[in-house]
Amino acid sequence: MLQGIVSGAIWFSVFLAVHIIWFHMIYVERRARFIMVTYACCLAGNFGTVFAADTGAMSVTQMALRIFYGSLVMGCLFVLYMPFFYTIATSLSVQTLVCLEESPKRALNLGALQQRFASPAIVAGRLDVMVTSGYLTVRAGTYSVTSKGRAIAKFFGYLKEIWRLGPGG
Amino acid sequence: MKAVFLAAALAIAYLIAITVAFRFLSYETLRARFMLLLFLFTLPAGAAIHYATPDNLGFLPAQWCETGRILDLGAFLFFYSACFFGGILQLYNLADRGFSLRIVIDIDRSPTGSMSTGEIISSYSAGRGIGWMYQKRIDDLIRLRLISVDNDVVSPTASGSRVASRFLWMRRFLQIAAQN
Repeated sequence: MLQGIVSGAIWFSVFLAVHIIWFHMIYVERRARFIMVTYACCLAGNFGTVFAADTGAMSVTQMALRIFYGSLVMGCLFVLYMPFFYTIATSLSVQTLVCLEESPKRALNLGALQQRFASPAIVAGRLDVMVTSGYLTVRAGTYSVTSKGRAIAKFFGYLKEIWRLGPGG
Repeated sequence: MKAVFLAAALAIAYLIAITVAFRFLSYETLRARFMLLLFLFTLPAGAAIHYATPDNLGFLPAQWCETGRILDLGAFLFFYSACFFGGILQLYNLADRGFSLRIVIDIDRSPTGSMSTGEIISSYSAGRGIGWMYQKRIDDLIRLRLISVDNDVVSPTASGSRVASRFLWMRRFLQIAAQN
């Protein structure tokens, strides 16, 4: 168990280092794609480490368990890290705070903030990302959901109902 | 493997518990806070269950069992915490606050099955509009004492300014500032 956990933790650290250094040095257009590819490579690295550490004495079950534990640790760290990253990158609340901090008097009119963050440009940006990600399609300026988008909408619509969350957003 | 099975079982039990609790809570209740408190309560309960149950849980093969009990307990707490912070809490955040997700749901539920950008803006969140979405963010920032509003002028509080400068640094370091 310990070897799998250590291997997974090290490979996640490698993923984190590559992702952070790369983003710092090079402007990345498709961030999610880069993150997924880097993560997949590190996951393969974890598999390779477990295989390489085998001196021939390890049973198939032991090896499978080590790979499983390593992958699980990597998966857990990934689901803990990604929401934090997307909060930095896309949260409107964070962007509002940053915008206020960057403004000359550290204060802005509420109307100006609304114009900036509740604007057609912000919505258009999100729509573009969702089209690129395959959740929406656009034809003659109107947007429709794809089957992938519909599955997500149905799942979360159902979740909102059973958790009694209201429309939200 | 006991750590994995126990973490999965406790996460499922937690999910059932909040599903039941959410049906009785009023809309005004701070649900994320409630979820966090319930999670903190289940941590010692989970540790007690881990201590009280056999290493093989009565059905696991010997090869799947970890002999180091402290290591297994640590792994269990880590896996369970990841299930909560990375899974259940994120699911709630997305369902309750997801901006893009709400747009997808609105389009899917529209009578024609398609919407223009203007229609999306005006009918966001079942007709509340995009202005409501942003006001909700502003209200949350005020509640968290990160900003204050005086005569329609918004300014960060001291703690808001500290938080903002950290995020600003991270966004610049990761070259995110120029995007969005």
